[in-house]
Amino acid sequence: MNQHKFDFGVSAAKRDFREIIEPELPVLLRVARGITRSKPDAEDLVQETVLRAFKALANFDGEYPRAWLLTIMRNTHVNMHRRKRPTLIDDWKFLEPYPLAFSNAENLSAEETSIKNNLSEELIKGLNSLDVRFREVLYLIDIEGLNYAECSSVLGQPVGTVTSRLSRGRNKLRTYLMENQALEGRN
Amino acid sequence: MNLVVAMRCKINSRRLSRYIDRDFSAPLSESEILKVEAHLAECEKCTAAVQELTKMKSTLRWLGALQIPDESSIERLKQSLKLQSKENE
Repeated sequence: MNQHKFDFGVSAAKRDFREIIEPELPVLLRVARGITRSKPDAEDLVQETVLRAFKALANFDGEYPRAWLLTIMRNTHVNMHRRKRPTLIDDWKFLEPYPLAFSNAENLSAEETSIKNNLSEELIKGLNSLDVRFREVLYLIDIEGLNYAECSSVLGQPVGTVTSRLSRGRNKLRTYLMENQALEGRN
Repeated sequence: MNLVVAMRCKINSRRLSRYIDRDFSAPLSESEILKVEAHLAECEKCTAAVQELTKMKSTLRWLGALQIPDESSIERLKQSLKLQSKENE
């Protein structure tokens, strides 16, 4: 493993801290929103995470800052709420308006946008039908774009469990979409 | 209806998922990739599964990318980070 990627001494790490953390703020904030379900609480959680990250710099090997920060965020949330682990997303409504409001993102044609919007609606319904264990993995990996290791950091579960839940969740979602004829049409 | 994914095939659905993602934390070996691709070349069910799972994944990612970033929160956090960095210089 390529440890000490930044040739970290703690003083060097402190100097580089802002450069390491700043690009991760949007992802931290979105995942925090998924955990807390509230904008102000999400911001507080990220703020506290960053403070704790700074204190924990001596233990950071300089590799995979996002996974490191997500682990701290998970532990911070657990400590703040005395929960065994965070439960992600039980209300998907906050995702619903965006495809319709921003239908020209990625410069899709009207037809492509319409297909994606229709599929998105069914996907959200399908996600709501899943057990939370599958839903949270699909949210973190397929919607938020985290990798397996980062998702494992957020959930406090081994990568093997993540891959298993991801595959089972995708199959359940696909079955739901097929039963509702939502996967028909162009690929 | 094509509901049976890869369950009766040599390639299980977990491996297909890892094949689609190519995630560095659970990578398939070169030989595993070759096995999956050889299987896909002869199995319509698994080929359809890969196409549909890829379409689902792409649409979910699109949905995620359309989330409005909370710029005011990000700005406050950046300012706070800036202050914290200055205090510790």
